[in-house]
Amino acid sequence: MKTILFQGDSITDGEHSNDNPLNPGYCYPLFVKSYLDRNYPEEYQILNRAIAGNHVVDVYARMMRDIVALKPDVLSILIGVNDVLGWLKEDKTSPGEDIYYRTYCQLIEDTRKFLPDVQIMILEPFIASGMPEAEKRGSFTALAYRYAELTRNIAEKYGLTYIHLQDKFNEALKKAPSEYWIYDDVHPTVEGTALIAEAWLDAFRKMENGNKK
Amino acid sequence: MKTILLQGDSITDAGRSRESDWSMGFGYPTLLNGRISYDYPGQYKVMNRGISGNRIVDLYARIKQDIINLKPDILSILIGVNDVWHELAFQNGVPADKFFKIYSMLIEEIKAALPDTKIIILEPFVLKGSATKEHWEVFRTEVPKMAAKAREIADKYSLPFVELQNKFDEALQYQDETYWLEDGVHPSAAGHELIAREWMKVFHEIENK
Amino acid sequence: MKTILFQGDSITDSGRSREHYYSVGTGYSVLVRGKLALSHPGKYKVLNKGISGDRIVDLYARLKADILNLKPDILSILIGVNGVGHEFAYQNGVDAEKFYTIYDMLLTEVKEALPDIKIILLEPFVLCGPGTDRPWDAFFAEVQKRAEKVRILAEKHGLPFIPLQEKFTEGAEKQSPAYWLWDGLHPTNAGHELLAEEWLKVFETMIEKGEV
Repeated sequence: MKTILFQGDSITDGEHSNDNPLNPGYCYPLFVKSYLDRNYPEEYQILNRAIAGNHVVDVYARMMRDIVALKPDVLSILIGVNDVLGWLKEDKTSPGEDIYYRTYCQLIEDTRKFLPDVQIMILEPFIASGMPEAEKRGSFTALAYRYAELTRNIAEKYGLTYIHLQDKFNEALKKAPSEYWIYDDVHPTVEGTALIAEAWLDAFRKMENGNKK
Repeated sequence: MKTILLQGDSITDAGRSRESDWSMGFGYPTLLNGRISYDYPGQYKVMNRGISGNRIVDLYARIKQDIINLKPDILSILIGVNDVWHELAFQNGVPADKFFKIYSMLIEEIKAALPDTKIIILEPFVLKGSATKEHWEVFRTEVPKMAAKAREIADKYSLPFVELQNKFDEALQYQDETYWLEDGVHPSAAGHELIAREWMKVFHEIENK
Repeated sequence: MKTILFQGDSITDSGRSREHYYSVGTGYSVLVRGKLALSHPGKYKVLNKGISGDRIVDLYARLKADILNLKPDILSILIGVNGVGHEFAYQNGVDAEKFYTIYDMLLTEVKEALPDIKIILLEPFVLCGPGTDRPWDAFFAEVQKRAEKVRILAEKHGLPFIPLQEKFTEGAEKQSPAYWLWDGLHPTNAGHELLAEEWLKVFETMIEKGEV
């Protein structure tokens, strides 16, 4: 049985339980777990250790306990939006893009040092850029896109599976209004959550097919 | 020892304890308990299972746990005002015809399960007060409809009926509405005493038989 | 946007928030909602008003506030196991005949108040587990009676019926019963996915027919 570990912030956390494996929270890991458990019984174990409010430095700080010790076969990370939001705050509660990039790289390298065989999937941080409110905050959109770019660079640098989400959300906005997918600039609704899960499962299937070849 | 079970809404509930039968709230159940346990020592156990906010459909949902399983010898029911009130407050009321239908089902199921239980029906009542004045015209016409249905139930199943609306109306010649029903729905101490006195009259009739 | 309302007991409730009107919990209704967003974006608004512990009489008491007043276009109901379970546990169940009578009243009143509504009935289901082994044979026999009543009600009112017991029984032959219903009553994530799948099969045919 393969262990899939989800790491991230509130977009992944969803009030999951660390103690009860039946409760992966209400975010996209729920959709993923429900689908995999139904269609591939007893092939995958899903763990969620995301914590709402986390920046990349917080995940790095938790690395030994919340990644390495759990020995995942697959590690899925969605982080970055709090780094964006924090940088825009007056008192700068996040350390800026250089440290974001460096810490993220360090997280990948150190994880691989302890878990050389782990397959890492990186999800793109995204925002509801189509929302009029977010458009008004031009710096927010620009900065979020910049962090998405940095994240993509990291995935490329280490040859990791990368899941594009910003484009997917922008595409979805043509079908239904922004608040249908994302309710407050950053947090997906149930509908947005399903979108993430779909993208994740597509990438995961490709990765698994590649593994079999 | 015979069991007397008092059922209904907040008027019966009156802040009773959910944990023990010892604390029966500040309403007519406590007054009845005092009177009956003093007058008939060791003969009756009084229980209050009223729940604040109950309409007839809520009481019906509780029929097993809170009525039939308790196997009362005497069952007293006072319900109906929330069926009107919750429509005005939350669009969640029960119209008079449905009130009658569910009330009938309640009585029939109780009679089938507990054929020897004596059932007493209390008349729902209302006065003009802080809770009822805004929609007083509706309360004034709709609560009497529930009262008429309750009376119909009593007639249909030959059950003793405790008239209360006209007693409260009569009491207005001595003191105003809020003296008896603090907000037009919930009785004051005097109002609860009025209910207890009317109830005891019917109880004595049952006892004498 | 059409409104789909999920009604039922804890299986439907699935830990939904009482504070957030649109919270749909972590069960089949959230999975359905997510899948419909992908296949038919913007077309349906999904609500869940299931309440843990509900028997048919409790749902009937909530008829106005939690069904009629919400004016759903589509109403999905899954109820029945607590009418059995609460009898074994607290002598507070609802027997099969009464289950039928009250369920029938509920459906009749819903159709009267909302004549254009589409109602979908789900079959109550159980597997052997700590919640149903009281003993299992007796529990299962009672649930089957309720399932049969729901099937009859669906026929009587001309409503789509979603069979589920057989699906779970099949699943339990391959994995353990607890893999699908962790205590014999409540679905795991896999169980909810199965439920959502079966629900969507029926719903997609309703979409094809232009009914919803």
